[in-house]
Amino acid sequence: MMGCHLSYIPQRLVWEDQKPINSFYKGDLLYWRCNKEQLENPYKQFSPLCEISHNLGVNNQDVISNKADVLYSIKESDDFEIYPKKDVLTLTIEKVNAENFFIKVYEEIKGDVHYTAKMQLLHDPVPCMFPHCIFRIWINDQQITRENYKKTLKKLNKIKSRIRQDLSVMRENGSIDLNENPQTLRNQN
Amino acid sequence: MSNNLGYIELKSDLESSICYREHYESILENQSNSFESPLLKEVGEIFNAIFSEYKDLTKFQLTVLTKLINEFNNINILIDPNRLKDFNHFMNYDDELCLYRRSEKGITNLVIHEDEDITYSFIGEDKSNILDFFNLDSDFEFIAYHFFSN
Repeated sequence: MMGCHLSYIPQRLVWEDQKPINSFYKGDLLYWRCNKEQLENPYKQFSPLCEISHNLGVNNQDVISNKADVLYSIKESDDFEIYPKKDVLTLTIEKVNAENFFIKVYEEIKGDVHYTAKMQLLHDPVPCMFPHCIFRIWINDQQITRENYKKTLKKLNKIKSRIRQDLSVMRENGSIDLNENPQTLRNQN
Repeated sequence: MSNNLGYIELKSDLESSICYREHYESILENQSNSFESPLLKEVGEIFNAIFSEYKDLTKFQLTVLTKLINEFNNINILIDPNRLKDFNHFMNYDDELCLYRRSEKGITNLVIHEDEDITYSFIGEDKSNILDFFNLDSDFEFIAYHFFSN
């Protein structure tokens, strides 16, 4: 495991020999670094809809990080220590499954192909940020990355929209709820 | 034909658009009262700004926008001009054009994908959560009405 070479990162955030966290609980907190525009409309998406980063703030009542910690830059290539002009949103986990995972599954048929997507919250520690987490997405068991995004998830309008809706609802409501599913407009009438 | 000077100026602006004139002409044909209402003039200006700002809209996106302009116009003339409210727009990372409104009830997004689909989303302050999909054959009056309903 490579060490953290950024001297401004507090030692409590550095990943040394702590075991990764593999369970989430009701009441856990995540912190999401965002642009102010995204607070106005969470649909505003400025990057590929994959590997969506958060920091784990509280896990099973243990404090893992502080809210402001998600503002630290952990890229050695950045020439700043703290992201300027960003806001931080707190999300509370309301419900996970019986195995203490947060996983959602989505389906779409496009052409003759049946696509199944999975979005899962994972603890993804990196050398300079042990609390780092991601919402990771797979389609038909292929992990979606920035490199393959345009050829995969970008083309699936319905799956992408359902994922975007779920993430936006989380941000609007400040909560992560496994049971939260949208109704259709036509069912309202 | 309206003698409203503002209407005449706006119509002239739209028809002078090199890129999108044919789209406007199909809307303004026989629509002598189009954009006469000051409120609809604002809506017209928003659409003009969209056509001006986003130069690489796909044919699908342009077609959807044209249909929406028609329906917004119908709301003004046939239903109730007070139904039309201000809205905003942006282009996201995936080159999808998004029209949106935030009100005291919540936030409504209408995502016009590059092809095939239009996504309607409403996230309510009361935790309501609505998502639906439409295409070119859908009822655009229905879509337009619900875009302004919350």
